[in-house]
Amino acid sequence: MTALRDRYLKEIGIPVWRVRTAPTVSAPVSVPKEVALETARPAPLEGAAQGVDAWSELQAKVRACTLCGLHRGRTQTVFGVGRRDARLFVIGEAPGADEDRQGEPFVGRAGQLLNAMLRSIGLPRAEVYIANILKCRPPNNRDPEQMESASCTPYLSQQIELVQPRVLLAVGRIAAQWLLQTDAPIGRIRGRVVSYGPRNTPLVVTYHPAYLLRSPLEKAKAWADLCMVKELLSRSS
Amino acid sequence: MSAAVRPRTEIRLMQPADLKSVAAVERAAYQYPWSLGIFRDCLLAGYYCLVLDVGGSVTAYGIMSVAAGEAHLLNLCVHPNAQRLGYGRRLLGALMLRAAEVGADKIFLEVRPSNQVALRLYASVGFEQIGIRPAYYQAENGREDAVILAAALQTPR
Repeated sequence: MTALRDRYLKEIGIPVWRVRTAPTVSAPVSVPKEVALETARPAPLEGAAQGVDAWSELQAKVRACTLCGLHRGRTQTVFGVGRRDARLFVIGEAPGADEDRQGEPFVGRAGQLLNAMLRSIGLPRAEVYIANILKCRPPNNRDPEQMESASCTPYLSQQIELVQPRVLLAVGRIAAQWLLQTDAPIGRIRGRVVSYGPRNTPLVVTYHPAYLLRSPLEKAKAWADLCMVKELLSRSS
Repeated sequence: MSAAVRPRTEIRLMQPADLKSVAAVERAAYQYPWSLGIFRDCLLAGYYCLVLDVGGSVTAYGIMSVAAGEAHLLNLCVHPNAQRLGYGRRLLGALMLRAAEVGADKIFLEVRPSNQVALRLYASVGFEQIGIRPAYYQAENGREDAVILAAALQTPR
């Protein structure tokens, strides 16, 4: 009976969900793979020392930034977090209340979902780099203004340049529309791989986890986007 | 950090250094692409060649010749992975503006009748069909006609 039902569900394109096994069970499966990938990568070269300077210089610049009015309302800047040689660079929109308080991107409920999304393709949060378009919290979480994004994104550009990721993942409409400079709705932007930047880094766009919390039905599409990311990462290793 | 990612889109003049990227977009978009040499000739001939560059990556381009008060759009192309984001419309607007600026009062182009997306874009900015060139294009099963479209250009004040 279930076999028949599964077949019908498959025919009409509905994926069958199964209860997730405890993370302790799945973790040992994915971890050795990550470790293997890690050891296979070349160790940071002499650029590392210079890299540290570039990072701390950039961090200091962001911490002291007063280019737009948002600096007046911030508790602190939210620079970004993660591996400085990450293969995946996640780009979000702007800090919310939790992020502003803790100084780290994606730490609220949306952040937990983002972590789960990354884990689903075998990437613990610590393996990727995460930063936002804006480093300061817009009041009442309003959309960033053009001028705010324009003055803030050079920081993001430099972060991407320093990390040199294999794949970029933009989460949410704001990040996607800004990066691609388009008014197209996110439903139309996602589901494709666009070459981005001078290195033609593949850029994938998906829904923001905060949106997925409100619209769980879209999770299937987000999963498809994540699978694309995984595929791109495996191709570029 | 001159080669840094620039998270913005800009339309700019095509440079010789863009030719490889342009030809790559062309190959991704068309079944019967122009060669890199053709694009080089377009630059050398002084045609008006624009690229749309997304974060530093050439994603779309347009090539137009203007002579004797008439503009001819020779190629307008968006990488297949970046279509339906408004880039073609933006490039077309820049090209038509330029044509009007240098004194053209009409712009012409040929398009495959099977290219519905392009036909809709051109119709939406005022192009109208003025004729057919029979068996103009190479096609999988023989030849395909070209639809000739024309639009009047507004002279800038």
